Amino acid sequence: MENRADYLLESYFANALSAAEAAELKALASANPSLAAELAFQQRVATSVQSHSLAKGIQNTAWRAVAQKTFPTTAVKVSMLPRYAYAAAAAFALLMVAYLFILPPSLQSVVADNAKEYPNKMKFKSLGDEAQSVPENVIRAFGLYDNHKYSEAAKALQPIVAANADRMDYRFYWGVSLVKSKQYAAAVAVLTLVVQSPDEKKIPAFYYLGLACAGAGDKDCARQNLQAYLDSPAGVTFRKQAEAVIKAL
Amino acid sequence: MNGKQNELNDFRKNPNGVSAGLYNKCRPKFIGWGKENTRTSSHDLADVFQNAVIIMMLNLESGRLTELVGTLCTYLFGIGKNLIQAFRRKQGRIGLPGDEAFPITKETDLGAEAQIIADQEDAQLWAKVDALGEPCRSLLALTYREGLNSQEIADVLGYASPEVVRQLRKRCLDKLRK
Repeated sequence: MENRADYLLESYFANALSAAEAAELKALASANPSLAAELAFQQRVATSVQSHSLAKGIQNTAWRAVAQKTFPTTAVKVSMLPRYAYAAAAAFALLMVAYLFILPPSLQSVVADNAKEYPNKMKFKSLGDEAQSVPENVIRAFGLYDNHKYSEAAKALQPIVAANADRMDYRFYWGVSLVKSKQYAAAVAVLTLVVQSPDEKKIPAFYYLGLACAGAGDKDCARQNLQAYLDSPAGVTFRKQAEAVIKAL
Repeated sequence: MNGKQNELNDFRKNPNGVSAGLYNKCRPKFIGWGKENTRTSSHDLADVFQNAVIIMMLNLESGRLTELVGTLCTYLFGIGKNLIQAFRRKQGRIGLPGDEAFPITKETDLGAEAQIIADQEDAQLWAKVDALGEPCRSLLALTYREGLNSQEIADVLGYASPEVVRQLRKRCLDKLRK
């Protein structure tokens, strides 16, 4: 028999034939009766040995008994403690990630993030000749405001507003200072009068009052005033922030 | 005599105890290794390990195994790796007409009477294989039942080369034909 045929026969019984080699062996067997007979004979041998255990070939009866004995599979004892510790650590890390990145931020943090500064537009600041007529305490209060010391500015502006009840501009900056220093409940009371007035600060006051209401937990008030700001044609500067807070409500 | 050879002597004296030790300590390692390195189930790996132990006994009994290079567990690993290779090939085998696993069709179906005759012939053939004794019996079983190639059989039965295995198998088959 050809070496090639021997190779193919061995590969066939070793289950190592490729599809092409299987077709080749089939073709060779069709063309060569002695190869076909050899293949059929070895297939018969293969069939005859299928149902007989290797262990039956062991002559020593004691060894054969051991070979045929079923040894139960012993479970590997693994302490679960380290696994629980890893699981707990992973769960904690997951919670931290969720807290930092996934869970929605609190409404107050949204308010703080979207409470933009309102620039000091008081005329006495830009027109030197008017500054001389402005009282010293007002200059000092707005100096604190310009320096972003809002908590101190709010305290300084309170007596000024009390002394100038008709000045909605002073009241507006007081309200902004309260919002920026997160004194939301006080800011609501201060800014409510501004939005009810015809003062030019009325429109931005809607925005800051909306923030103050949100910070104080009054969502309806917040939604109403922020929407009033967005509905106003002049409500442009803080539109993005107002929308963000409404979304968080 | 070193400790490794003592393992063989210990087995001869106390096959049950030594085997129990192998199954308790070596088999979990083998199954762990097999699961990590081959896509083979624990159940199949346990079967492979049992066959490796049987081959070890056959080799020891026939004198093909007289001394160990490593431990008995290492020796079983060597046999087991060859058996796993063959087992993995068997899972992706290509059949031919006449093959045990070849799908039965109208053309290949022998019919009930012919099947009875074929079964009787298989039994007679097995009796002849069994009567050949070692090493033909193991060699034919490993070739046609386990699907090992000549190199793998040389490795597990301790023959010098695959060519020796081919020559031996040819002689065994010739004896069967008589």
